[in-house]
Amino acid sequence: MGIQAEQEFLARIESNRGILIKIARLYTDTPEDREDLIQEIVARLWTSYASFEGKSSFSTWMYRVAINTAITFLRKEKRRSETIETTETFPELTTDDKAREQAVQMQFFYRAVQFLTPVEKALVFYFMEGLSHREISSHLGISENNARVKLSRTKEKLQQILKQLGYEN
Amino acid sequence: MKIEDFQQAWDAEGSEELVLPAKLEKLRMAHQPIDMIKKNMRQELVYQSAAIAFLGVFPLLIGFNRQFYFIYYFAYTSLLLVSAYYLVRFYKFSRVIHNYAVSSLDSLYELYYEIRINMEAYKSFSFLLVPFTIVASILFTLHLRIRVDHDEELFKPADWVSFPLTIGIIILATVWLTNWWVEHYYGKYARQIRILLDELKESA
Repeated sequence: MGIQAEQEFLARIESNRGILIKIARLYTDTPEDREDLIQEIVARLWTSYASFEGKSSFSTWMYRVAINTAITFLRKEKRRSETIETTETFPELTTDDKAREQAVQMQFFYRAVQFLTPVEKALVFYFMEGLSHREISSHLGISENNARVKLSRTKEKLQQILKQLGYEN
Repeated sequence: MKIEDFQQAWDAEGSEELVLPAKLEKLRMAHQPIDMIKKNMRQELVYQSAAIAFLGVFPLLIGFNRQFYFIYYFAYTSLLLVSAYYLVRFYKFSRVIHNYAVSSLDSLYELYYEIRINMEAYKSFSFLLVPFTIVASILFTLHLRIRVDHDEELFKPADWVSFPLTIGIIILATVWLTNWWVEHYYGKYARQIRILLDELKESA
Protein backbone atom coordinates (compact mmCIF):
# COMPACT_ATOMS: atom_id res chain seq x y z
CA MET A 1 0.00 0.00 0.00
CA GLY A 2 1.19 3.50 -0.76
CA ILE A 3 2.12 6.46 1.38
CA GLN A 4 -1.33 7.98 0.96
CA ALA A 5 -3.02 4.84 2.30
CA GLU A 6 -0.57 4.80 5.20
CA GLN A 7 -1.32 8.43 6.05
CA GLU A 8 -5.05 7.82 5.81
CA PHE A 9 -4.73 4.75 8.02
CA LEU A 10 -2.69 6.62 10.65
CA ALA A 11 -5.20 9.46 10.69
CA ARG A 12 -8.02 6.96 11.31
CA ILE A 13 -6.06 5.30 14.10
CA GLU A 14 -5.37 8.69 15.64
CA SER A 15 -9.05 9.62 15.69
CA ASN A 16 -9.88 6.24 17.28
CA ARG A 17 -6.90 6.14 19.64
CA GLY A 18 -9.18 5.83 22.65
CA ILE A 19 -9.97 2.25 21.60
CA LEU A 20 -6.28 1.35 21.56
CA ILE A 21 -5.52 3.02 24.87
CA LYS A 22 -8.45 1.42 26.66
CA ILE A 23 -7.78 -2.07 25.31
CA ALA A 24 -4.09 -1.80 26.15
CA ARG A 25 -4.92 -0.81 29.71
CA LEU A 26 -7.47 -3.60 30.04
CA TYR A 27 -5.12 -6.32 28.83
CA THR A 28 -1.80 -5.26 30.31
CA ASP A 29 -0.54 -4.01 33.63
CA THR A 30 2.89 -2.62 32.81
CA PRO A 31 3.93 0.27 30.55
CA GLU A 32 6.22 -2.01 28.48
CA ASP A 33 3.47 -4.56 27.86
CA ARG A 34 1.09 -1.72 27.04
CA GLU A 35 3.47 -0.31 24.47
CA ASP A 36 4.04 -3.76 22.96
CA LEU A 37 0.32 -4.45 22.74
CA ILE A 38 -0.46 -1.11 21.10
CA GLN A 39 2.30 -1.71 18.59
CA GLU A 40 1.03 -5.23 17.97
CA ILE A 41 -2.54 -4.05 17.43
CA VAL A 42 -1.51 -1.25 15.07
CA ALA A 43 0.57 -3.76 13.08
CA ARG A 44 -2.36 -6.20 12.84
CA LEU A 45 -4.70 -3.39 11.85
CA TRP A 46 -2.28 -2.30 9.16
CA THR A 47 -1.81 -5.81 7.72
CA SER A 48 -5.59 -6.29 7.75
CA TYR A 49 -6.35 -2.81 6.41
CA ALA A 50 -6.50 -4.00 2.81
CA SER A 51 -9.41 -6.26 3.76
CA PHE A 52 -11.37 -3.37 5.30
CA GLU A 53 -14.18 -2.86 2.83
CA GLY A 54 -16.06 -0.17 4.66
CA LYS A 55 -19.17 -2.34 5.12
CA SER A 56 -19.05 -1.47 8.80
CA SER A 57 -17.62 1.65 10.40
CA PHE A 58 -13.86 1.84 10.91
CA SER A 59 -14.26 1.73 14.70
CA THR A 60 -16.41 -1.44 14.52
CA TRP A 61 -13.78 -3.13 12.35
CA MET A 62 -11.07 -1.84 14.67
CA TYR A 63 -12.84 -3.30 17.73
CA ARG A 64 -12.62 -6.78 16.24
CA VAL A 65 -9.02 -6.71 15.12
CA ALA A 66 -7.88 -5.05 18.34
CA ILE A 67 -9.78 -7.37 20.68
CA ASN A 68 -8.79 -10.51 18.72
CA THR A 69 -5.15 -9.42 18.93
CA ALA A 70 -5.39 -8.58 22.63
CA ILE A 71 -7.12 -11.86 23.55
CA THR A 72 -4.15 -13.93 22.36
CA PHE A 73 -1.46 -11.40 23.25
CA LEU A 74 1.47 -13.04 25.03
CA ARG A 75 2.75 -10.80 27.76
CA LYS A 76 6.37 -10.79 28.87
CA GLU A 77 7.02 -13.57 31.35
CA LYS A 78 7.02 -12.35 34.91
CA ARG A 79 5.57 -13.30 38.23
CA ARG A 80 2.03 -12.07 38.57
CA SER A 81 -0.08 -12.09 41.66
CA GLU A 82 -3.08 -14.36 41.19
CA THR A 83 -4.68 -13.35 44.46
CA ILE A 84 -6.40 -10.11 45.16
CA GLU A 85 -4.42 -8.01 47.59
CA THR A 86 -6.97 -6.26 49.76
CA THR A 87 -4.26 -4.29 51.52
CA GLU A 88 -3.35 -2.40 48.37
CA THR A 89 -3.44 1.33 48.74
CA PHE A 90 -5.00 3.67 46.26
CA PRO A 91 -5.02 7.44 46.43
CA GLU A 92 -7.84 8.79 48.51
CA LEU A 93 -10.90 9.98 46.66
CA THR A 94 -11.50 13.66 46.60
CA THR A 95 -14.64 15.04 45.11
CA ASP A 96 -13.35 18.55 44.50
CA ASP A 97 -11.48 17.51 41.41
CA LYS A 98 -13.66 15.52 39.02
CA ALA A 99 -10.88 14.55 36.66
CA ARG A 100 -8.81 13.29 39.55
CA GLU A 101 -11.75 11.38 40.95
CA GLN A 102 -12.32 9.70 37.62
CA ALA A 103 -8.64 8.87 37.31
CA VAL A 104 -8.68 7.16 40.69
CA GLN A 105 -11.91 5.38 39.79
CA MET A 106 -10.31 4.04 36.62
CA GLN A 107 -7.22 3.00 38.55
CA PHE A 108 -9.44 0.73 40.67
CA PHE A 109 -11.28 -0.42 37.60
CA TYR A 110 -8.18 -1.42 35.62
CA ARG A 111 -6.63 -3.06 38.67
CA ALA A 112 -9.77 -5.15 39.15
CA VAL A 113 -9.99 -6.06 35.46
CA GLN A 114 -6.53 -7.66 35.63
CA PHE A 115 -8.14 -10.54 37.54
CA LEU A 116 -10.50 -11.33 34.68
CA THR A 117 -9.84 -13.74 31.82
CA PRO A 118 -9.13 -12.40 28.29
CA VAL A 119 -12.69 -13.24 27.17
CA GLU A 120 -14.19 -11.54 30.22
CA LYS A 121 -12.09 -8.46 29.48
CA ALA A 122 -13.50 -8.40 25.95
CA LEU A 123 -17.03 -8.54 27.36
CA VAL A 124 -16.29 -5.69 29.75
CA PHE A 125 -14.77 -3.63 26.95
CA TYR A 126 -17.72 -4.05 24.60
CA PHE A 127 -20.18 -3.36 27.42
CA MET A 128 -18.39 -0.18 28.47
CA GLU A 129 -18.26 0.93 24.85
CA GLY A 130 -22.04 0.73 24.84
CA LEU A 131 -22.55 -2.24 22.53
CA SER A 132 -25.81 -4.14 22.74
CA HIS A 133 -25.97 -7.86 23.57
CA ARG A 134 -26.56 -8.56 19.90
CA GLU A 135 -23.49 -6.56 18.86
CA ILE A 136 -21.35 -8.20 21.54
CA SER A 137 -22.51 -11.64 20.41
CA SER A 138 -21.66 -10.79 16.80
CA HIS A 139 -18.16 -9.56 17.71
CA LEU A 140 -17.42 -12.60 19.84
CA GLY A 141 -19.13 -15.08 17.52
CA ILE A 142 -21.41 -16.49 20.20
CA SER A 143 -25.19 -16.53 20.65
CA GLU A 144 -26.97 -13.49 22.03
CA ASN A 145 -28.15 -15.45 25.04
CA ASN A 146 -24.65 -16.70 25.73
CA ALA A 147 -23.32 -13.13 25.54
CA ARG A 148 -26.02 -11.96 27.97
CA VAL A 149 -25.27 -14.71 30.51
CA LYS A 150 -21.51 -14.27 30.27
CA LEU A 151 -21.72 -10.51 30.57
CA SER A 152 -23.96 -10.71 33.60
CA ARG A 153 -21.56 -13.15 35.33
CA THR A 154 -18.56 -11.04 34.42
CA LYS A 155 -20.13 -7.89 35.83
CA GLU A 156 -20.90 -9.72 39.05
CA LYS A 157 -17.35 -11.04 39.25
CA LEU A 158 -15.88 -7.61 38.60
CA GLN A 159 -18.06 -6.07 41.29
CA GLN A 160 -16.83 -8.67 43.77
CA ILE A 161 -13.21 -7.98 42.87
CA LEU A 162 -13.71 -4.24 43.24
CA LYS A 163 -15.23 -4.84 46.64
CA GLN A 164 -12.28 -6.98 47.68
CA LEU A 165 -9.91 -4.28 46.49
CA GLY A 166 -11.65 -1.94 48.88
CA TYR A 167 -13.42 0.23 46.34
CA GLU A 168 -16.45 1.99 47.75
CA ASN A 169 -18.40 4.54 45.81
CA MET B 1 -21.83 -0.11 43.48
CA LYS B 2 -22.38 -1.11 39.85
CA ILE B 3 -20.09 -1.37 36.87
CA GLU B 4 -22.27 1.24 35.18
CA ASP B 5 -20.97 3.73 37.78
CA PHE B 6 -17.67 3.74 35.94
CA GLN B 7 -19.27 4.73 32.64
CA GLN B 8 -18.55 8.43 32.87
CA ALA B 9 -14.93 7.87 33.81
CA TRP B 10 -14.61 5.27 31.05
CA ASP B 11 -15.96 7.66 28.43
CA ALA B 12 -13.43 10.26 29.50
CA GLU B 13 -10.61 7.74 29.03
CA GLY B 14 -8.27 7.51 26.07
CA SER B 15 -7.80 11.16 25.27
CA GLU B 16 -4.10 11.15 26.11
CA GLU B 17 -1.57 11.41 23.34
CA LEU B 18 -0.65 8.28 21.49
CA VAL B 19 2.71 8.14 19.78
CA LEU B 20 2.34 6.22 16.57
CA PRO B 21 5.37 4.93 14.69
CA ALA B 22 6.47 6.89 11.65
CA LYS B 23 7.08 3.72 9.66
CA LEU B 24 4.44 1.03 9.89
CA GLU B 25 6.72 -1.62 8.36
CA LYS B 26 8.99 -1.33 11.37
CA LEU B 27 6.32 -2.40 13.83
CA ARG B 28 7.17 -5.50 15.77
CA MET B 29 4.74 -8.42 15.65
CA ALA B 30 6.06 -11.02 18.03
CA HIS B 31 3.55 -11.42 20.81
CA GLN B 32 1.05 -13.76 19.23
CA PRO B 33 1.14 -17.56 19.57
CA ILE B 34 1.22 -17.90 15.80
CA ASP B 35 4.25 -15.59 15.57
CA MET B 36 6.07 -17.46 18.33
CA ILE B 37 5.48 -20.73 16.51
CA LYS B 38 6.64 -19.28 13.20
CA LYS B 39 9.74 -17.87 14.88
CA ASN B 40 10.55 -21.24 16.52
CA MET B 41 9.93 -23.08 13.25
CA ARG B 42 12.14 -20.71 11.28
CA GLN B 43 14.98 -21.25 13.74
CA GLU B 44 14.55 -25.01 13.64
CA LEU B 45 14.37 -25.07 9.85
CA VAL B 46 17.83 -23.50 9.71
CA TYR B 47 19.25 -26.25 11.92
CA GLN B 48 17.35 -28.95 10.03
CA SER B 49 18.63 -27.70 6.69
CA ALA B 50 22.19 -27.65 8.04
CA ALA B 51 21.75 -31.20 9.39
CA ILE B 52 20.41 -32.45 6.04
CA ALA B 53 23.35 -30.84 4.21
CA PHE B 54 25.74 -32.46 6.69
CA LEU B 55 24.18 -35.90 6.11
CA GLY B 56 24.89 -35.43 2.41
CA VAL B 57 28.65 -35.20 2.96
CA PHE B 58 28.84 -37.44 6.02
CA PRO B 59 29.85 -40.63 4.09
CA LEU B 60 32.64 -38.72 2.37
CA LEU B 61 33.93 -37.35 5.67
CA ILE B 62 34.20 -40.72 7.41
CA GLY B 63 35.41 -42.66 4.36
CA PHE B 64 32.24 -44.70 4.15
CA ASN B 65 32.54 -48.08 2.44
CA ARG B 66 31.85 -47.40 -1.24
CA GLN B 67 29.67 -50.51 -1.54
CA PHE B 68 27.10 -48.77 0.64
CA TYR B 69 27.02 -45.50 -1.30
CA PHE B 70 24.16 -46.57 -3.54
CA ILE B 71 21.85 -47.59 -0.68
CA TYR B 72 22.86 -44.60 1.45
CA TYR B 73 22.29 -42.02 -1.25
CA PHE B 74 19.08 -43.70 -2.38
CA ALA B 75 17.76 -43.29 1.16
CA TYR B 76 19.25 -39.80 1.30
CA THR B 77 17.42 -38.77 -1.89
CA SER B 78 14.14 -39.90 -0.33
CA LEU B 79 15.04 -37.84 2.74
CA LEU B 80 15.73 -34.81 0.55
CA LEU B 81 12.40 -35.11 -1.27
CA VAL B 82 10.42 -35.50 1.95
CA SER B 83 12.31 -32.64 3.57
CA ALA B 84 11.82 -30.36 0.56
CA TYR B 85 8.07 -30.97 0.69
CA TYR B 86 7.86 -30.12 4.39
CA LEU B 87 10.28 -27.21 4.25
CA VAL B 88 8.16 -25.61 1.49
CA ARG B 89 5.05 -26.32 3.50
CA PHE B 90 6.48 -24.72 6.66
CA TYR B 91 7.74 -21.78 4.62
CA LYS B 92 4.23 -21.21 3.22
CA PHE B 93 2.83 -21.41 6.74
CA SER B 94 5.30 -18.73 7.86
CA ARG B 95 3.92 -16.42 5.14
CA VAL B 96 0.24 -16.89 6.01
CA ILE B 97 -1.40 -13.76 7.39
CA HIS B 98 -3.96 -14.61 10.00
CA ASN B 99 -7.36 -12.96 9.67
CA TYR B 100 -8.06 -10.94 12.81
CA ALA B 101 -11.06 -9.13 11.36
CA VAL B 102 -13.54 -11.97 11.88
CA SER B 103 -15.43 -12.74 15.10
CA SER B 104 -13.32 -13.80 18.08
CA LEU B 105 -14.63 -17.36 17.91
CA ASP B 106 -13.77 -17.73 14.21
CA SER B 107 -10.39 -16.09 14.71
CA LEU B 108 -9.56 -18.41 17.61
CA TYR B 109 -10.76 -21.53 15.73
CA GLU B 110 -8.66 -20.56 12.72
CA LEU B 111 -5.63 -19.96 14.91
CA TYR B 112 -6.17 -23.20 16.79
CA TYR B 113 -6.42 -25.32 13.66
CA GLU B 114 -3.51 -23.56 11.96
CA ILE B 115 -1.37 -24.42 14.97
CA ARG B 116 -2.67 -27.99 15.34
CA ILE B 117 -2.27 -28.78 11.63
CA ASN B 118 1.30 -27.52 11.64
CA MET B 119 2.08 -29.42 14.82
CA GLU B 120 0.86 -32.62 13.14
CA ALA B 121 2.82 -31.78 9.97
CA TYR B 122 5.92 -31.28 12.09
CA LYS B 123 5.38 -34.65 13.76
CA SER B 124 4.85 -36.50 10.47
CA PHE B 125 7.99 -34.83 9.07
CA SER B 126 9.95 -36.13 12.01
CA PHE B 127 8.46 -39.65 11.72
CA LEU B 128 9.29 -39.77 8.02
CA LEU B 129 12.96 -39.32 8.90
CA VAL B 130 12.91 -42.64 10.78
CA PRO B 131 13.38 -44.95 7.73
CA PHE B 132 16.46 -42.96 6.70
CA THR B 133 17.83 -43.07 10.24
CA ILE B 134 17.36 -46.85 10.32
CA VAL B 135 19.04 -47.42 6.94
CA ALA B 136 21.90 -45.06 7.82
CA SER B 137 22.39 -46.74 11.25
CA ILE B 138 22.51 -50.23 9.71
CA LEU B 139 24.95 -49.15 7.02
CA PHE B 140 27.13 -47.42 9.56
CA THR B 141 27.22 -50.55 11.74
CA LEU B 142 28.16 -52.71 8.76
CA HIS B 143 30.76 -50.17 7.70
CA LEU B 144 32.40 -50.38 11.13
CA ARG B 145 32.41 -54.19 10.99
CA ILE B 146 34.12 -54.34 7.63
CA ARG B 147 36.58 -51.64 8.56
CA VAL B 148 37.80 -53.63 11.58
CA ASP B 149 37.92 -57.01 9.89
CA HIS B 150 37.58 -57.24 6.08
CA ASP B 151 36.83 -60.98 6.20
CA GLU B 152 34.11 -60.67 8.79
CA GLU B 153 30.62 -61.67 7.69
CA LEU B 154 28.33 -58.72 7.16
CA PHE B 155 25.47 -60.16 9.16
CA LYS B 156 25.74 -62.25 12.31
CA PRO B 157 23.09 -64.51 13.86
CA ALA B 158 22.81 -62.11 16.79
CA ASP B 159 21.63 -59.42 14.34
CA TRP B 160 18.24 -61.16 14.23
CA VAL B 161 17.78 -59.85 17.73
CA SER B 162 19.95 -56.74 17.91
CA PHE B 163 18.75 -55.12 14.67
CA PRO B 164 14.99 -55.30 15.33
CA LEU B 165 15.68 -54.23 18.91
CA THR B 166 17.69 -51.20 17.78
CA ILE B 167 15.10 -50.31 15.15
CA GLY B 168 12.35 -50.58 17.77
CA ILE B 169 14.29 -48.31 20.12
CA ILE B 170 14.90 -45.77 17.32
CA ILE B 171 11.20 -45.71 16.45
CA LEU B 172 10.02 -45.43 20.05
CA ALA B 173 12.62 -42.79 20.90
CA THR B 174 11.70 -40.73 17.82
CA VAL B 175 7.98 -40.92 18.56
CA TRP B 176 8.46 -40.03 22.21
CA LEU B 177 10.98 -37.25 21.59
CA THR B 178 8.97 -35.72 18.75
CA ASN B 179 5.75 -35.74 20.73
CA TRP B 180 7.51 -34.23 23.73
CA TRP B 181 9.24 -31.58 21.62
CA VAL B 182 6.13 -30.53 19.71
CA GLU B 183 3.90 -30.50 22.78
CA HIS B 184 6.49 -28.63 24.83
CA TYR B 185 7.38 -25.95 22.29
CA TYR B 186 4.16 -25.63 20.30
CA GLY B 187 1.43 -27.40 22.27
CA LYS B 188 1.36 -24.76 24.99
CA TYR B 189 0.08 -22.20 22.47
CA ALA B 190 -2.60 -24.56 21.19
CA ARG B 191 -3.67 -25.29 24.78
CA GLN B 192 -3.85 -21.57 25.55
CA ILE B 193 -6.19 -21.00 22.61
CA ARG B 194 -8.22 -24.10 23.50
CA ILE B 195 -8.87 -22.56 26.93
CA LEU B 196 -10.22 -19.40 25.26
CA LEU B 197 -12.41 -21.45 22.93
CA ASP B 198 -13.79 -23.44 25.85
CA GLU B 199 -14.54 -20.21 27.64
CA LEU B 200 -16.60 -18.98 24.70
CA LYS B 201 -18.76 -22.10 24.71
CA GLU B 202 -22.40 -21.82 25.70
CA SER B 203 -22.89 -21.08 29.37
CA ALA B 204 -24.89 -23.69 31.25
